[in-house]
Amino acid sequence: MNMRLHWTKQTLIFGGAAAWGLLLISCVMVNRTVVAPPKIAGATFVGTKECTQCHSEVTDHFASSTHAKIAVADSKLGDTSCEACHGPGSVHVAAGGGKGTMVNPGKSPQACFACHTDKQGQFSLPNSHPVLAGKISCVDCHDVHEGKAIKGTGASLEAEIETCTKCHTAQKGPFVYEHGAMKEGCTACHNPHGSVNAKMLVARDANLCLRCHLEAPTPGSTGEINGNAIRHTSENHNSRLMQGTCWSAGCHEAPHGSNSSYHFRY
Amino acid sequence: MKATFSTIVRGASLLAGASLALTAITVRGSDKPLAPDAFPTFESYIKVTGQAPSVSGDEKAFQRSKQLSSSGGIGIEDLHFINEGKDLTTEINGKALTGTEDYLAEVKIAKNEFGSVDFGYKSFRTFYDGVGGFFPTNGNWQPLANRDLHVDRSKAWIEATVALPNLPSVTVRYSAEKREGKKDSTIWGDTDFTGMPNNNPPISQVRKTIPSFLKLDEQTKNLEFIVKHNIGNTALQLSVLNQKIDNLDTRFVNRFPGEAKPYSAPASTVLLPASQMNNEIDYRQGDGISSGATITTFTSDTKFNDQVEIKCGVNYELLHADQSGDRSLVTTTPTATVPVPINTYNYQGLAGTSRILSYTGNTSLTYTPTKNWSLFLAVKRQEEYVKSAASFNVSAASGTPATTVATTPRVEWANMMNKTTTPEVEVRYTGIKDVALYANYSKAKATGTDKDTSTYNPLTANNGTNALNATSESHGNYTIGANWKACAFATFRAELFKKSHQNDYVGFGAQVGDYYLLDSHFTGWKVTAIVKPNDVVTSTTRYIYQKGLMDVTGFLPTFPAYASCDAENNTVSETIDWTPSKQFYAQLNANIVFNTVNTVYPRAGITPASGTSIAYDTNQVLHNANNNYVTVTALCGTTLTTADDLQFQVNYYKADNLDANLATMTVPYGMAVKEVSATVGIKHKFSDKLVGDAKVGYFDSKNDTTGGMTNFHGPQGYLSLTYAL
Repeated sequence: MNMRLHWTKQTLIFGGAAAWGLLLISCVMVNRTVVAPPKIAGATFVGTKECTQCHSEVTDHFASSTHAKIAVADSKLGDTSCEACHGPGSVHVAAGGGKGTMVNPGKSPQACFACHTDKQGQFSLPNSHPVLAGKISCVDCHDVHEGKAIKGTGASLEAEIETCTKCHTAQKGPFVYEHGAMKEGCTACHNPHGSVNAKMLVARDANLCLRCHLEAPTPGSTGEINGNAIRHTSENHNSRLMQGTCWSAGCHEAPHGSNSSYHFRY
Repeated sequence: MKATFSTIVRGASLLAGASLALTAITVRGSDKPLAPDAFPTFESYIKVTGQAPSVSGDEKAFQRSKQLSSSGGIGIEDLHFINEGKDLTTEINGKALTGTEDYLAEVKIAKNEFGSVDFGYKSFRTFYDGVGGFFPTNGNWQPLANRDLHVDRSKAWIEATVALPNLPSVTVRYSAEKREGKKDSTIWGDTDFTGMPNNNPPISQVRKTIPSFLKLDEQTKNLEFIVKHNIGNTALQLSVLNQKIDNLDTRFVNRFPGEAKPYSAPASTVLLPASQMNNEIDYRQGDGISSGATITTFTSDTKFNDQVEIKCGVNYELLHADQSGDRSLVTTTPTATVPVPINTYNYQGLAGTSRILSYTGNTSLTYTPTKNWSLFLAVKRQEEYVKSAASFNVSAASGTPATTVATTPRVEWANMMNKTTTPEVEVRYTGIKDVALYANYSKAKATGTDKDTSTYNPLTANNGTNALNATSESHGNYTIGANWKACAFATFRAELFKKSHQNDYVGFGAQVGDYYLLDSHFTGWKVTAIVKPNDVVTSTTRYIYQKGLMDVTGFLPTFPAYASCDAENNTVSETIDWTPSKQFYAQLNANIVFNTVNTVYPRAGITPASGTSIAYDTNQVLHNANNNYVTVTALCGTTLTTADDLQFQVNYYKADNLDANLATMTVPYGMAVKEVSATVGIKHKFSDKLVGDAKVGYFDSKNDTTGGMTNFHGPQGYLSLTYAL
């Protein structure tokens, strides 16, 4: 039995009319607020100076954060950096604090998506860290209140790779033969927010490796790619690449590093 | 969309059941008196949940895509209890969901001016589907026999802090983390069963499409002491972390499954003459590491006044690691009577050791001469010394038949030294009304040595092929940006960024070394416009552009600098919030991404015929890697009655990068997936302490990359009750 659904003009007209009708009916029947996530009903901005009353351990260091550099003060309230992410704070202040009166990006990424709209798309890909499923959150990898949002960059004390290897310890090594790409960081090959490719790879074919590992044409040849600019080898990889990726079985299976092969064969 | 009658009946039953449940909820709930605002926020509550999909098609692909169990699940989705006394605050958090095996039990107790205790356990499951490649020419698809793959990640912890007034606060933290289970790998094995010609060198019939998997057994234990104290305007912190890691991961790979050559090869087969088949190879590789590290960190932060703040930090890390491993291969040959090991890539008893010694220090000055200027100067210095060595035995089979196995020893070593200095400058200016300007510059300059030897037999040689390289790295990162609040209804942000990295490996001395220079330059910008034309609409538009160019230089003059990579990314992202009334809201997020990676192959031209190979278009060996996709998420909600809210959500994802024609020359061929899901839900208030939420939905996924073998669709239901404690 076949059943087909089509987005026809009629579908859009009747569907749209029904949705609009529902909206009008609901507006007529009920006079209360439906709260859109991640907002706080009835809340208004109060300014960061209110936040410092109770959260000085956070606000004291915020000036050093990546997010602080884009802050523009409100002409009436002054700095509103906290509420830019946590939502207007009047309800929270009036209640003397408490759960549910502020947006908590640690529980829901929607506050981060308000500006990082592209990350919402990346996290909704099938190959992504389970942020939308609530199993990890943006703040597990990013420090949004102090210092670099992308940890380990610039003159930070820690290394950038530590963000990933605190969970992915097997890739941390050390290996007898370490892949130099690890010095560039995991993001050289993986997009941690999400990718169309398995394992969040930035490319799922040999292009991934050939970005850095060019097999240069031998001078004098007519396009045959059979030299290797990296090591002393005349191995012609054309036929190998026809069979699969560089890290396929029997080839270079240890892209993060190897304890038994200089060429990361296994 | 195709659906069987039973699917529709099953889906309709689920929808009908959910509808009846919703109706019952609404009717029963309407008897209760209602508050003007129907949905209060609970301080302490328990939320009980049940969700049930009815999957038609590939259940494992559903699990991987949605990260939900195809058999559904019930349990406590969220438990939160808080009791705030005069001096004592107690907080309990919990979760217990079957199916996704999502568990949390946490207790936090804090006493004012004394300290706190936090202990708990949490775990969650990640699903995988055990799919390898699909070969479109003959429709060959060989998934793992057992595709029920998942990895459970868990963590148990206890943390105690004593923070008495005017005394140093002391924190002791212990955690034990585990990562266990099976996950698929992209290290695919090969097959001859592709229906491709087998006498057309160099284009062989072999394609690597056979899935493999990893068995993970990883443990990490952390014990950390942290002491914090303020002396005047200076905040001091000392932490000592002892970390132990014990991992034993095993990879299982199958090559040429079912392709053992028979003793007496038949004259021909449908797909390939048996005499020209490869032999089936099964292998498993175990990689173990047991490491212990002590990491000591001391930081100080002094605020001299509102204008000057100086931070300093030092870090010392000492790590010892013991590696272990083995790689056992067996194959079936036409001449042997039993499976025998083969000599290639077969080793046992790997025993290695590594030692890392690292010193890092940094200091920074934040200077704010006026309220509009802020200057950040910092420098970091790191020295790292890594020494590693390992030995193992290689097995080699010989004889006719090849049943005699000899083992020979192998040894190897590698030493690395690296010294890195990273200065950083950041400037911020807010002197222009409603404008924030900023710029950041950092450049890590590293020099070092990389000495190693290839593996060698110590019984017959004194060393392998030694490589001595002088390494130097220059990693520059530059950012300049602005945030402009143009008017009450429009804010604009723009940022230019550039990353220029150079990595050089140059052999020196009498030994053989490398000559490898890699230059990479990534430049781009991102602009964001936040527009609020009125009180009911907010539009956030973001455009990101990035261009990446890379050059590789090999052994001069034979291999001069050559453009190895030309990558480009264009992302257009839009989020719209529309709240036309207090009773209705709509949110839309849409992303369109054009991403392509170009390397040398797609511009390589024709490879002429040789004595052993036909001429072929080298461009077809590898096309550009295209990673284009579209995602759309639409959400709207409205009030229905004084006690009911209605919510509707649609998710759409499409990637269309497949070029199946590439299969005649290569694998893989790009990702092409289309997924749609729609959900309608009602949130109902039973009383001031009880709220219910019911949703029904439908999902549909089509995957052309796997030839439709991993398609799935079906309805899904979800119910929850939240009760205030």
